[in-house]
Amino acid sequence: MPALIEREQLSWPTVVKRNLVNLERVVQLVLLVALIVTWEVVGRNVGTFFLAPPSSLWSAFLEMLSTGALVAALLDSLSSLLAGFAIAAVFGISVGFMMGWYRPVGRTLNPFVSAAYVIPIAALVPVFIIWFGLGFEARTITVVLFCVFEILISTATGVQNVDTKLTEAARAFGANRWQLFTRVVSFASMPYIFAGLRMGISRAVKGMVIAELLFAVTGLGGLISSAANYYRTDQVFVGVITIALLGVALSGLVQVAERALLPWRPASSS
Amino acid sequence: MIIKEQLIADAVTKISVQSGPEVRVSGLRKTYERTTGREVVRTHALVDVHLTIEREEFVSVIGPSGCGKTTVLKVIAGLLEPTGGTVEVAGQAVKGPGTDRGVVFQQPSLMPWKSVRDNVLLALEFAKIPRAERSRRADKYLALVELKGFEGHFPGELSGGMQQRVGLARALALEPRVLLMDEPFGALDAITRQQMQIELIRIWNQEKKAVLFVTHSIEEALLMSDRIVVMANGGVAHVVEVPLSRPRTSEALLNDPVARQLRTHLESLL
Ligand SMILES: Nc1ncnc2c1ncn2[C@@H]1O[C@H](COP(=O)(O)OP(=O)(O)O)[C@@H](O)[C@H]1O
Ligand SMILES: [Mg+2]
Repeated sequence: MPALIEREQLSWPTVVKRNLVNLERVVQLVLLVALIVTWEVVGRNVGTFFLAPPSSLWSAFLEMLSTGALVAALLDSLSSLLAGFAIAAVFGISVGFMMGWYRPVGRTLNPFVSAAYVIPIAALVPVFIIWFGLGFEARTITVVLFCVFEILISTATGVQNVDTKLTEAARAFGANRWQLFTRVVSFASMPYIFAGLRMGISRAVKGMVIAELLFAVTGLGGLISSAANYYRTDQVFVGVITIALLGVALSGLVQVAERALLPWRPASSS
Repeated sequence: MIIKEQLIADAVTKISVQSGPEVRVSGLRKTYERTTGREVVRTHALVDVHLTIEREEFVSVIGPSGCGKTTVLKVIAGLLEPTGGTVEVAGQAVKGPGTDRGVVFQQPSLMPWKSVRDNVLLALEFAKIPRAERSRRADKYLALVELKGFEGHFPGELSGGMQQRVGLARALALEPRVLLMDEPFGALDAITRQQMQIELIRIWNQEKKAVLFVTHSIEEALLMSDRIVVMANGGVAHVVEVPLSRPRTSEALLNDPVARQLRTHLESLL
């Protein structure tokens, strides 16, 4: 037994300080500044046409913001990205559960999943355009195919690797197979599922951009390719940075959800 | 006088309630089989095990690693299907796990996503105990193992000894006829181990049950048990009565001539 268990409510400033001001954050900031400075120096020397320096990006950013092109492209991208990711998550988690839980199903489907996983999906985008046109569906399907396998394989692996000590304890107390699945295995495989979702969301962003670049008319990818057609490297970079930030934000969101849903995972001790 | 009367009264209730032993294991055999390619590997873990546990009797099973202690316990628990032979609990043939047996595992085997109290409640839910009764029992047995105040903690926030107390509370909460314990203190440090031995004896005095206690420590077996079953090579090699008066302490056992003789005897058997 510990000597004493204390409970304390932290004030919001303390919480913010703890999470935002630490060595990792400082190093991140230093790296970011170093990157920007290097970019600026190189950009000024080789000329804006080849490499738009960060200082010139700000005006490009404001310009794209004022015309509404950036926001429109972002929303456009987000719609197919989120729809595709949601479909992939539902499908990947359910099929992953099935493949992990019913071993014969897993063994049967495994070669198909392995085959589908290595197919260069980007090469199939033109086919999707032929089938579905240049609309929302073709982009969404590209996103789904880009990220569904990570989620599916992680989920199946998680289910197969559930600690037998836990399932054995549950069985000893009389759990039936349904309870074993819903009350033990589904929770015990959560860390794997979230690992799959984290990888999946990054792949989904990639899939979205690749589809849009090939479509060349919509979303952030479309914005980038039309800027490139006009030799506006500054606008290209604004688009690229937006995509990078989108990736950081979305995988951050997945991690926030993971921490909220898996509070039992020991965080840190002081 | 009073003690004598009590003994007679006990004997009478024993006879009237039930005549046979609480657990009867006869001719138990267990063979593990594994096939790799053309080769079939069979491990004859239990050859011919006979064993009984009387009401309110504390029986230790002791023997070198790999002699089949865990296998016997798991078969009695209904977690493993025997290859041959029978297990009866209170005269009923064992067909699978049941609430007449409470199992405490070597590793605490608690669900890491459930609080201490919820772990006990979940086990009771698996055991199909009515909801209102579940929470009464959880409170009662968590208090019995002296975990009041820790109900809301996650297993990851507890020490090994405290986790094992939760495991014990969870098994006791079934209010089983038999308690099956597989080296429950094996993973604990010496000091915690001693505390837990004292705790278990205190609880056993309070809730007299038949106990099957697997250990590899002669000291522990002498301190706790009425009878010691010595296993070797998948069978019962010897059964040793422990005619030491209770309460026992490890210090007293060091100087007790009978205990010293028993220890030497057991050492020669192992
Ligand atoms: N699942 C299993 N598959 C194959 N062999 C096993 C399995 N479990 C145990 N054994 C073998 O059975 C024997 C008895 O094991 P066990 O009952 O765990 O011994 P103990 O608990 O006394 O150390 C050992 O030789 C072990 O290798
Ligand atoms: Mg063992």
